[in-house]
Amino acid sequence: MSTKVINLEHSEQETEFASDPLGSYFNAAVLEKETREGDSDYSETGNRGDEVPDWEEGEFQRWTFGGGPVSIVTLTKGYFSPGHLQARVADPRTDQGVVQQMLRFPIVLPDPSIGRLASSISRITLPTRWIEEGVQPPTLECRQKATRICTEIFEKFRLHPDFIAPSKEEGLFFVYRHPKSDRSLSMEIDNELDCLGQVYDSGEIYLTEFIETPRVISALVAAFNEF
Amino acid sequence: MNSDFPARLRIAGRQRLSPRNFAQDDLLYRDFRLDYLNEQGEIEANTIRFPDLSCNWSRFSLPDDVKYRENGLNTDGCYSITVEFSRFQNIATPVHDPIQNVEFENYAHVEVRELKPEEDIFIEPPKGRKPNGKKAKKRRSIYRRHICQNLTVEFEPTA
Repeated sequence: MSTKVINLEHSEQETEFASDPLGSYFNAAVLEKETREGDSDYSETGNRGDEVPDWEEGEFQRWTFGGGPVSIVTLTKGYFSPGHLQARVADPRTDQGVVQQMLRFPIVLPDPSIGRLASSISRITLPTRWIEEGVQPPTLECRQKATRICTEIFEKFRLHPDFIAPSKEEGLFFVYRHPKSDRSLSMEIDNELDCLGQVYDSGEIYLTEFIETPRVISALVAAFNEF
Repeated sequence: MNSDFPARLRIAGRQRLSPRNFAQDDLLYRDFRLDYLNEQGEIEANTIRFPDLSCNWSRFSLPDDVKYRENGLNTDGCYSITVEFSRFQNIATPVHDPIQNVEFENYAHVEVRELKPEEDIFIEPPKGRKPNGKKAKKRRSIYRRHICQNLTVEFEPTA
């Protein structure tokens, strides 16, 4: 069994459904998700072993929280409203799907798209040949910076990279494709933590700038959307 | 050396040539593999390490010869750029750099090296020179993108 710790910040004003006995439990800032390899009861979570849940709107996942009076909880995202989780809590001994308590609290888990992105970035490895040539893999700091910038782009512009890869220049490389034009936006973050954004199509380069402020991201996205 | 190693790649006493010997429409061949391709099946800028971009000069080799190098595979593909494109905005210039390696001798070997802004395309930038600073990094980024936009796939890789 492995245990992943997920931070769920509980908001007092959202606890109208969360009267005791479970309220105090969910007031804890940290909940533990247990995952059991080969345990079919947990197969429906679909994200065993991931730091960040990878779920879609309306999906539910089963989580087991140790130490509380009730230990099986089903969390559903977006049931009441986007940005909130609904928790259905059941007694593990009877587990007949009986709703014993409804809770509602703000999601502080990353958006699933960001979760997938962070996961992709953390898993990137170099092609074998590049390793033979002495190319250094992206550092942890590079991956963290890339995640931060991609998250910002996603949150502000709802853009998700279509291509994520290591760079032979030692760092990470992202490409966003415009759905209605030939334009692309690439972003390269090297191990020196310099981040260069570039807007181009098959024949022209429209803008190349270091991403040092949010305004540069906005300028790049504006050029990306201009056609 | 492998018995089917092409004789045309052997140096055989030939002299190293200068940047002035490159014709603008000569081709520079480069190898690539399937994992160099992006999700659209195109060669992406992340696979280009510049400067000192290693190529084979078309005047002395065929596209298939990119396989005859260290770590080369029979499954490798090949793309080409013209010498003219390699000199884009005078950012770089090809330098003839024959390899005198017992196993992979290669007279056709060329390195595309980076020029400083004031330098002429007919000088030979030294091997391993990579100017520091953000301005240089930006130039290199533009150059790498330009290569992607102007390359021609000679044959596809199979792995």
